[in-house]
Amino acid sequence: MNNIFPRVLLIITFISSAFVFCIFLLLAILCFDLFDSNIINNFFGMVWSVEEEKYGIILPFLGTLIISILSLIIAFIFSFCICSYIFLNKYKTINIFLEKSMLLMASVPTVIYAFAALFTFVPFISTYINGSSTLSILVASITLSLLLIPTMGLLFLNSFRTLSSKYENTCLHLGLSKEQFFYQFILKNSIPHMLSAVILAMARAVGDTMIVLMLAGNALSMPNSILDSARSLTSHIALIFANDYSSLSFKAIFLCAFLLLCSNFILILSIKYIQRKCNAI
Amino acid sequence: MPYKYKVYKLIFAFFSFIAMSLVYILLGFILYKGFSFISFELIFSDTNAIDALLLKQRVFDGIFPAIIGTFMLIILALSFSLIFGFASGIYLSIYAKNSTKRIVNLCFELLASVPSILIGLFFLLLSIYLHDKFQANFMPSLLLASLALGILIMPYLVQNTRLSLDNIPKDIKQIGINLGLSPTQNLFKVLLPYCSKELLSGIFLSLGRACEDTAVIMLTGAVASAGIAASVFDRFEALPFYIYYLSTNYADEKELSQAFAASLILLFIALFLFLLTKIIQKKFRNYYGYN
Repeated sequence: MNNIFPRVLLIITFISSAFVFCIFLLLAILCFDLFDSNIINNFFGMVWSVEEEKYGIILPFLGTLIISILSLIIAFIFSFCICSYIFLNKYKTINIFLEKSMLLMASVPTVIYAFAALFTFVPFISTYINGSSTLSILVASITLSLLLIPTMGLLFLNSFRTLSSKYENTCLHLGLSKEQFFYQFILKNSIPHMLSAVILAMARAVGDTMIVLMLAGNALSMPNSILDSARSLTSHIALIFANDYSSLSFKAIFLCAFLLLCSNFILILSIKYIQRKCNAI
Repeated sequence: MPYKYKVYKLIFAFFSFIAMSLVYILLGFILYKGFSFISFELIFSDTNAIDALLLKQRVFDGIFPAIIGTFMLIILALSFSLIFGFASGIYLSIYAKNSTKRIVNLCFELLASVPSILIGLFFLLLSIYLHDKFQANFMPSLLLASLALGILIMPYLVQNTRLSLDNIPKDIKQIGINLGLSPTQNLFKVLLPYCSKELLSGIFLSLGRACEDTAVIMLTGAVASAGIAASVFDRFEALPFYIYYLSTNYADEKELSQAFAASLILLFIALFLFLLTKIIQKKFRNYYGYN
């Protein structure tokens, strides 16, 4: 019994940790099949047209990039301000309210954000700002940023608090005010932690499906401004018609999926790299 | 310069206010619309509520099948991932060597970062492949969707199990061993009972994660109207997909109000599971007096 039990656990652990490689391998094999044939040129281009058999996956990739970076910027401003305010503010009720709200936001299903934004933000923006379509990159980015606030904010707050619990007494006794301590010590020293939190949020933004699918409009054309609609890799995968499995347009999905998976892995591995460097210092 | 710092703080307060108001506009809108529309008629259509709850009569045109579908889905997903999650977490915390620990942890972190739609796509491709090669009847169904969701929530369970075992104070970990228990006996007789509440909170956490995910079930068998699934090989309805479908394809006011009611219910399920997690964790920490 004493020997068998750990071995059974080892086998189960091995199986469950191998799932991620299964997903990676399946997508990689499907993509390498495409690289062998001479249809690969159909996929790398800016044009998507069924008649010409051109399925350019650059467009959804650009869509993903634009939406996730824009939402990352908005979410960074929001979460940084919320965390700094919690740290600097003296009134306990406001701090508890802000912190609990962030926790609450982490538990709200994404489809509800998207659904509510569809009936609040979308009419608001289309009445006050005239764009080419009602669904736009701007709406999707703002809503997506709400999703990212808890991901980033809770990590920011955590790193602020860890640093302050270690050094607050020392710095205050050296004659710094609480504000000086925050701006000159904590912010400078929590940059690596903040960077890894931002990258984590980026991974979350790239991987999110529902908000982009429901709010960004899914047009397969080059967006000219942030008021145009765009399609992301995830919503491109979500919009497949699952009845023509052998067609080229279905095979373009494999490339999209592989691109998405690789970019996510790179983001996560870079977080690991940053964290190791932090610990080394 | 205190003047400069005051301006900064005002800017922080301003943006915090904007962010909070955006969030509460969205949530308040759902609450307001949901509460003004929700009624027994929307949930059960024209079927008798008690008959529907006892599964005597089938409900066709209401939210009820979607609610039951969601519960079936998350419970099946949990039952698939429970053994894998707990076993891996226990192995990582108690038995694994440091090098193994690092590699396996990295695997689970990567798995947690895989976008949910890719997990759905993986299972869709798997079902197509199995169907083509072996003529297996493994088409999108409740079984496939709950397997996919099980994979999605597994990293959370692993992480939670590992952390709750790691956080047990060292003297409690050692006392059983010093009294002559083997590591496995120590695990079952001392450690698992000690952190059982923490493990329970992990289960609710992963249930909450499972009930909100839409992208996975979209590709693996959720449909807009199917009634309550009779077996695990049937297609099924689920709340998140129901909301998504109605938000893009609603025909009249009644369907829209159904979507609002469904999102109110989904919001409450998610919040309830989240609160349960937090309460259990807080009680546990107070009771055992750490943190």
